[in-house]
Amino acid sequence: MPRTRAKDAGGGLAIEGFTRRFGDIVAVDGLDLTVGRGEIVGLVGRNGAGKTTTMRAVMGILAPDEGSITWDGEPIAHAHRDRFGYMPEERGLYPQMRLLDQVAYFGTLRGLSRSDAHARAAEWLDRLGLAGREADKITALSHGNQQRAQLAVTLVHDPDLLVLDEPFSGLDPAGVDELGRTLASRATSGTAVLFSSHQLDLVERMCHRVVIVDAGRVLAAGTVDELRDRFPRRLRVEVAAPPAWASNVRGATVVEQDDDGVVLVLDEGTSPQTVLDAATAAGPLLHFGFEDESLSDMYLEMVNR
Amino acid sequence: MNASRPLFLVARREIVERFRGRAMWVVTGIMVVAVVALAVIPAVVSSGPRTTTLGLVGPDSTALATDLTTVGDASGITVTTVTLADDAAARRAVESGTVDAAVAYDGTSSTVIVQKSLAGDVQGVVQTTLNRAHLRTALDAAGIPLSTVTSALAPVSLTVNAIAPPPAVDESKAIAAIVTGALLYMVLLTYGSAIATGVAQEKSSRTAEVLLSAVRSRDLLAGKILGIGVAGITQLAIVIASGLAATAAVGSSPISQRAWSLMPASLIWFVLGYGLYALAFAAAGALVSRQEDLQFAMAPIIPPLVAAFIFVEIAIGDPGNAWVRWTSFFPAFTPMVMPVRIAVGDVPIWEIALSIALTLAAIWWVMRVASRIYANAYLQGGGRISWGAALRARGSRASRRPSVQRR
Repeated sequence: MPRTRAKDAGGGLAIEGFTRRFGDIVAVDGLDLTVGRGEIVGLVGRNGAGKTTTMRAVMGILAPDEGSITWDGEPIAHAHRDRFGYMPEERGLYPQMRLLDQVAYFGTLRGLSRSDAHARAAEWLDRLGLAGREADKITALSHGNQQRAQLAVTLVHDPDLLVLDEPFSGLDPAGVDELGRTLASRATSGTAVLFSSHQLDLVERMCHRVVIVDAGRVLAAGTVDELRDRFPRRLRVEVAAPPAWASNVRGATVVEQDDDGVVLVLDEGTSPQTVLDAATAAGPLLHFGFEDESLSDMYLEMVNR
Repeated sequence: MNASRPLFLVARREIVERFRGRAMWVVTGIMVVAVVALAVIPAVVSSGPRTTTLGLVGPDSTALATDLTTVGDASGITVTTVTLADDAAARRAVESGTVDAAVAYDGTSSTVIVQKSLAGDVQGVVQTTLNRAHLRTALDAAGIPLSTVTSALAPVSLTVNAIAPPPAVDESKAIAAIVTGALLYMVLLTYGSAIATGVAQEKSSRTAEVLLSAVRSRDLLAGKILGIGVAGITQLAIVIASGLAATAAVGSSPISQRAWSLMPASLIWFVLGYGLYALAFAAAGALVSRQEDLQFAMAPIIPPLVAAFIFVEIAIGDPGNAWVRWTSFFPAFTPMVMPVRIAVGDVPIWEIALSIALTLAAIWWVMRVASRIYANAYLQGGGRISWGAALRARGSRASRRPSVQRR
């Protein structure tokens, strides 16, 4: 999936200092976040971190106590939201309404004319593999097809901003792949995409940038590579010899050890060559290389820190 | 874009989906059958004044014919007589259906020939007539002049003068009133529940959140109420029209004609009552996440409706009742009690105007409270929310204060 991001024309979604309380509980506390046009941003954090509250505020479902939420530099008004598409975590469609009518109805609520909405709804249903099911009630669809219907409702008006709360949850691997490709193609054509997920490998693969939130605050934000820079690089060495050699290398610390080998973190100024020399001296070298820390590992380290 | 467009889109969906569903047509069909039956059955059962044709055999036939007609008229039966030659002719006439019964009288005894049985009231007329004939013959034989006998046998006119007559309740008015009251009670309950169910369904199916990302909660609320209201009025109009058509077709008694002629006016009261109760029902629907909890949430709304119906019944029996008069000004009762008062008796125009004004004021107040509850409770999951909690909660745009720009 493309990690290269379409050239953004500036603008897009900007959240600054967003704060929201529920009674005495501060759900979100001074959160900053931007999603440029053509950019896919992953919102990551444990349950209750404030992801849904933030997304609802963007969609105007609840109001901020403090802070500003703007689109292209303008405070978001109702008219802007006609250009937004939203998929809540709790999916919801009228159970007894026919598929095509339902998708078209949400299109008209977003400002499309009825004929236009019907045409686009039919097009999206076709694109999402729901052709032939137009007259079916939602209850007659399988779980996977209901998810597709929900996506069609979100996309029918070709929004400039997509806000998707856990869009991948409950999807089978093929569904995940399909949705991933759809989002990537939307982004390529200039749509700003903000989604939350607990599937961090997916976020790492799909997103241009990641925002990690915890207890209503942003812990870290940036590209995965930028996040990685915050962590010491990990050097994995496998030698056909007992691992004791590694503890004697100056300026390096063993952070992990398993049957195959060791993982070292080098002090500032220590050259990898030093480690290589020590390793080859200990025995035949099987593997030597830096390994990328996964988003998942970085996330766990950050939130448990 | 037109600012009210979302409202009409929401309303349009309600109307289209409601008429697309089978339930709507089944219920409408049942109601149409019921009102047509209501109009037609009385007309068929009470098929006008009774008539009967009697055949007469015997020497006194001419005198009997006059008496039978006189006595019959007094009993509300129009008697036509045919003079027959003999018993055999009488038998043939009965068998062929030319006459309902044949009376053979020889001056002392009589035999009546009928197909199966003699109707009780006809038998009474025949018996009285024969008794009179017998008495007349006997008195004539005793030498009393026939004219004296005839005048002595004339019925005595009877007049009843009551010192404290009960209030004159025109039967046609009472029926008109009860039909109006019952219909309003039924439709308010039906469409009120439809709204509560619809709102609760959106909440339980989680459609609410998708909707609220596209539509303001007040547009959603108003659109739903408008849509279900229009669907309801259409259904009501179909029912009323078939009632009127059926009444006209059978040319039935003025009783139901009056009742049906009042129906169109009752639409105004329906709109008022609906405006008041629909909002409350919508708020109730927003309080629950499961359909099963709906009965509990609606509990505070049902008693005023039931109470109003009780006052409707009191008003029909006793239109001048002071309680009825006062309650007809109480907005929760006005839409049902006032039309019944109007149907049963004469209500001064200022009283009608005042009650409408008070109801409109109440609608305005309920609208504020109900939309607040609706907006606050609509997105809150997890079981049933109390009315009070929903009113106090601050959860959505409806109750938001200006956001602070931190720059």
